[in-house]
Amino acid sequence: MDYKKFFSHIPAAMVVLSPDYKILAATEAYLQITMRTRAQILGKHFLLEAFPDKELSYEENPVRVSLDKALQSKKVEYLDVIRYDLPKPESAGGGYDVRYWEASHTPVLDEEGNVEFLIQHTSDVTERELAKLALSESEEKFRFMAEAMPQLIFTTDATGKLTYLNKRWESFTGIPIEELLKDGWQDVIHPEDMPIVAAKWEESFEKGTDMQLELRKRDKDGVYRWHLCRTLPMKDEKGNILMWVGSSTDIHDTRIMVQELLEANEQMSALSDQVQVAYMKAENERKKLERLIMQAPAMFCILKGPEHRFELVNTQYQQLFPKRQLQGLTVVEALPEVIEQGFVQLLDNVYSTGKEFIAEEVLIRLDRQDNGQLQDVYLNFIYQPLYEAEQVAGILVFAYDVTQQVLFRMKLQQLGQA
Amino acid sequence: MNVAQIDFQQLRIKHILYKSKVRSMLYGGAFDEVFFSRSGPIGIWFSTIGSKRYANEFELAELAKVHRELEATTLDLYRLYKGGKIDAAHDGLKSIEMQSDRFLNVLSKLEQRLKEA
Repeated sequence: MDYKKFFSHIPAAMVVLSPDYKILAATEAYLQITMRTRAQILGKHFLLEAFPDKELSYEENPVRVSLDKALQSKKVEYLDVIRYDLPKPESAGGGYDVRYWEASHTPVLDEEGNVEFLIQHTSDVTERELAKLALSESEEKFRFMAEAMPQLIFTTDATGKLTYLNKRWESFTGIPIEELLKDGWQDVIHPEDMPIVAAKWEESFEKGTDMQLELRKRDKDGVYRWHLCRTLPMKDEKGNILMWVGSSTDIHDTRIMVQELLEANEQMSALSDQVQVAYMKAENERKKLERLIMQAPAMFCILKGPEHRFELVNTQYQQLFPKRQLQGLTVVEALPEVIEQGFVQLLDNVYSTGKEFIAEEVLIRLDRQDNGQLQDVYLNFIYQPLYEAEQVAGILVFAYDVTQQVLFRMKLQQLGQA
Repeated sequence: MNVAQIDFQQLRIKHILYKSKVRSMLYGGAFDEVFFSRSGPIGIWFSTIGSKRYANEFELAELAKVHRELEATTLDLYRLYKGGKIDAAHDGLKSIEMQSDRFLNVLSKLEQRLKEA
C-alpha cells in the first residue's frame, strides 16, 4: 500500500510538523481549506513562515503554546477555538478571509520515547462560530432592549424557572438580581396578592396562554406599589413553548390619580345636587313672596339698581297708574311728573346710604289718567333698601293711599274754623 | 341662572362622574352595580328631571340613546377587565371617550337651543 498517497487523501485536514515546527507533510484536505499548495508550505516554519499571525507575537501565539505543551507532555493537546484569518490570494482580491479553527496536536514518539513529529488535526469551524456570534449579538440586542425598557422585565425557561431579570428590578426593589432570581422575587409580591398570582400563573402556564394581572410589589422603601403584569409565552414553529417573557408596569400613580378624580367628581356631583335643592328652595320662597306682594292689600313695588327700574309692580300699585306700563322702565322714564317733586332724590338717598325712608301723609301730584291733569294723592310710604351680597341692589316700596283720610281731616278743620 | 341651566349643569357633572367611575373600575375600583344601573344618578336624572321638564325636546331621546350605548360599552369593558384582558379594557376607554364627546355635544346643542328660544 502506498502510505504516502493514503495519507495525502485522508479526508481530514492534517499537517505534520517536526519537533522544531517545520512542515513535513499535509493532506489534500488541509491544503484545500488553507488555500495553499504543498510547494508553498513544505519545509517552512509552521508559525513563523507558513502561517504567521498578523496580530499576535510568536510568544503569545496560542498554537505555539499548545504545540510546546504537546512536545513537553508528549500527550494530545486540544486547542480552544481560535481565530486565524487566512490571507486571500491576489487573484481573489487580496486581504484576509475571516476563519475560526479548532485543532488538536498529537505527538508521535520514536522508539526511545522522544517526539519524532507532531500531527495537527484541524477543522474549519467558521460557519458554526459565526452563527454563535450572531446569536450572542441578537441576545445582546434583546438584553439591551430589556434594560432600556421603563418596566420590570423578566424571562423564564419553558419550565417556568426564572432565567433573567432586568436591572430595574434591582433599582425598584433594592434587592440584588441574584437574590431575586433565587426566591427573592416572591418576597416582593404583596402577601394578599400571592394566591391570585399563583393561581393565574398556574392557569396560563397550563394552557400556554398569555396572562395579565394587577398586583402590588414592594419597592426599596418598603412601600407596596400597584403594577400591571403581563406574561407571554414564546413558541417555536410547532407551537412548543420555548420561554416566557414578562413585563411589569408601575401603575400606582395612575390608580391614585383615577381614584382622586373620582372622589373630586363625586364631591362635585353632591354639590350640584345641593345647588339644585337650594335653587328650588330659593325659587319657591321667591314665588311665595312674589304672590304675597302681588296680592297684598297695599301698594308694593321693587325698584332695581341705581336707576330705580321697576322690577315687580303689584296690582294695587299698578292702580295708581292704570294706563301706564311700568315694569322694565326707570322711575324717571315711567313717572316724569315726580322728578320735580323730589322723589327721585329721596330714592337716590336710600340707595346710596342704605337707610330706609318713612313718610306719612305726603302729597304727590300724579297724572293718573294720562290726560295732563295732575291729581293730589296723599300717601304713607316706606322706601326700604334691598340688599344683595351686603350691598344695596334695589329698593322695596311699600305705600298706602291716605288721601280720603287727609281730605276728611282738612274738611273737619275747615268746619271747626268756620 | 335659571332652572334649565341648573338641570343641564347637573347632567353634565353626573356624566363626567360616570366616566370617572368607569375609569376607576378599570384601575382596581369596584363595579358599583347600583351606580351603573337605571337607579344610578344619570338614570334618575332621566326618569325625574329629564322626563318631567324636557320630554318634548327631541335631543333628550338622543341623549338617552347615547347614554345607553355608554352603559353597554361599560359592561363590555368590565367583562374584559374581569377576564384578565386588562390592556384591552384600558384601550376600550377610547370608545367611552368618543361616546362621551357625542353626549356632551348633544347636551350643548339642547342647552343652546333652549337658551335662544
